[in-house]
Amino acid sequence: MALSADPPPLVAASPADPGVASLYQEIILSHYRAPKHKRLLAGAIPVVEHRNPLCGDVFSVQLSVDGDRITEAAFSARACSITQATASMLLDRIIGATVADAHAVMTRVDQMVETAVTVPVPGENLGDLRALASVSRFPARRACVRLVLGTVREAISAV
Amino acid sequence: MTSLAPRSDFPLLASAPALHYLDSAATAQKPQAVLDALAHFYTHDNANPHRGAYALSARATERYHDARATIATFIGATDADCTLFVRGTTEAMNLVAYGWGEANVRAGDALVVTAMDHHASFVTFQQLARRTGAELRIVELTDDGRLDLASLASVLDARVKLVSVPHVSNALGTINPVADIVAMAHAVGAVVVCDGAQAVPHLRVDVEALGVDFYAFSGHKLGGPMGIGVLWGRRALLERMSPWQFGGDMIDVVGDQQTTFNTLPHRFEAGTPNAADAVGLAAACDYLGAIGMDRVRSHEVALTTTMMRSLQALDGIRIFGPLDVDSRSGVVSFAFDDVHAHDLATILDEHGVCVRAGHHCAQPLMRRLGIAATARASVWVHSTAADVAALVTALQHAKTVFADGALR
Repeated sequence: MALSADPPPLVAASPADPGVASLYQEIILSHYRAPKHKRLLAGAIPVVEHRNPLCGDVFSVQLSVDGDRITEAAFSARACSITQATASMLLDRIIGATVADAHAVMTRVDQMVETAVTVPVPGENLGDLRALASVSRFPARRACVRLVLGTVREAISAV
Repeated sequence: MTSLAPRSDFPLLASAPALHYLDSAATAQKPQAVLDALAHFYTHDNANPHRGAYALSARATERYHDARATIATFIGATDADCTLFVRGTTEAMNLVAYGWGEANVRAGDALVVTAMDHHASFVTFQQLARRTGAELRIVELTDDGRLDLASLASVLDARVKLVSVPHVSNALGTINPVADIVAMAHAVGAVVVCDGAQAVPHLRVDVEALGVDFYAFSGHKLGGPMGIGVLWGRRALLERMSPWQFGGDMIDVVGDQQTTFNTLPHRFEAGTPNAADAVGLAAACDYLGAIGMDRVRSHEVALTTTMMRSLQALDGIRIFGPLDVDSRSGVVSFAFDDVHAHDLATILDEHGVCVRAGHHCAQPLMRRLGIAATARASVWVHSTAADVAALVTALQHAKTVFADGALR
């Protein structure tokens, strides 16, 4: 492995700067402050729970599917703002969607937090989720988004 | 307050003047003296120790031997051969579990750990208990994050074979009364293993005065290289222990069907030793020794006092562990305004402030505190009041980012 000749700076140029602002955008903060679908679903809908062993966060999802369509979904979490906002935005997007559409959306979110490239795919309608592209600048926080994706994927496949 | 050691002693810090490194409890930055010692070994002394009859190999052997003596002296061990090199505290705990535990723990026995043990010892002795059929007993904490000695007394009886206790809690900073705990444990015939990972870089440690039976620490937390650490043990215990790893260097005579093993310390150091990192760790001990551990402690007490006062002045702060600075090290764990520790760490990072956020490899402790994670700031010889001020400024910024509306 070649040594980097010019490593990126360890400290941002200006603290109050676009860095944090772009991660903690108003869209993300508002979903965190007033999350949608953060509740327990009535009835015997199984809870799928995942943890991030590195930080101890706990995230769980309940999800029901009728035919090929997600009819209900809800989450609970003891987790950071990024995880909770992701869950709020994602569940809001996929409730009522087909399973195939939900998987496509999650694939796109997965790509976004890696590379931030968000050339829109016609009809994908990512909505607020587009804000998660900012996570690509914070590699340590990708796992916070992927905790949600992994749990929702398992919940869908478990139905 | 100025630093105790000049920032220029630490090349990484010198090259990043705006960085406020407050995560020394996770790993310490490396003094130039340590990097020089590593380079010197590889440049001038590198050969396989204990192997060659040629002068260079003899020199490598001597450097390795000298490093062990330096490190033993640094922790108050008079018998350097009882100072075993391992990868770090985690491997040291596993050496105790396999080398001592498998031979001495039976079904029906009990092992004692504390609710503030790091996973390195907590999980290791939990699994030893599961393998042997022993019972695992847990010493609970007081509300202010100290070991509850009444709880310790209540779990001690003649069935207890081992007591594990951290010298200093990595998550709370609590300095435990190890000598008192040793007296209680020895009264029921139990062996005491002490995790010194958070103590050796910050306090004057004398393993013999503490009275413990085993003492472990990691080199990288006191400015040494990653991948080298120490298990010190009493000779009488070590000599009765079976090797737990086998191979070169640790043998005496290898027959076709059986082998006799080398003397201490070699019987517990199978394979080519990590001589260069041992030399690097000895350089770190020399570096701290030249500063003086009493001065290190005084500096950290003063800075921790400043940090605790500054943090306590913030609305919405909750500091874990004892508030009395004499009972704690320079590790300050806190929660702030219900902002998740990861969110705090991200915003602090933008200010160049490095803190640890998470469960600190102490999930049993986090469960008892009723939280998933804390933010943890920790100081060392290069830390200054400016680092603490940067932390406070960054926390105030975090507050404004998360200010609006009711947080959940």
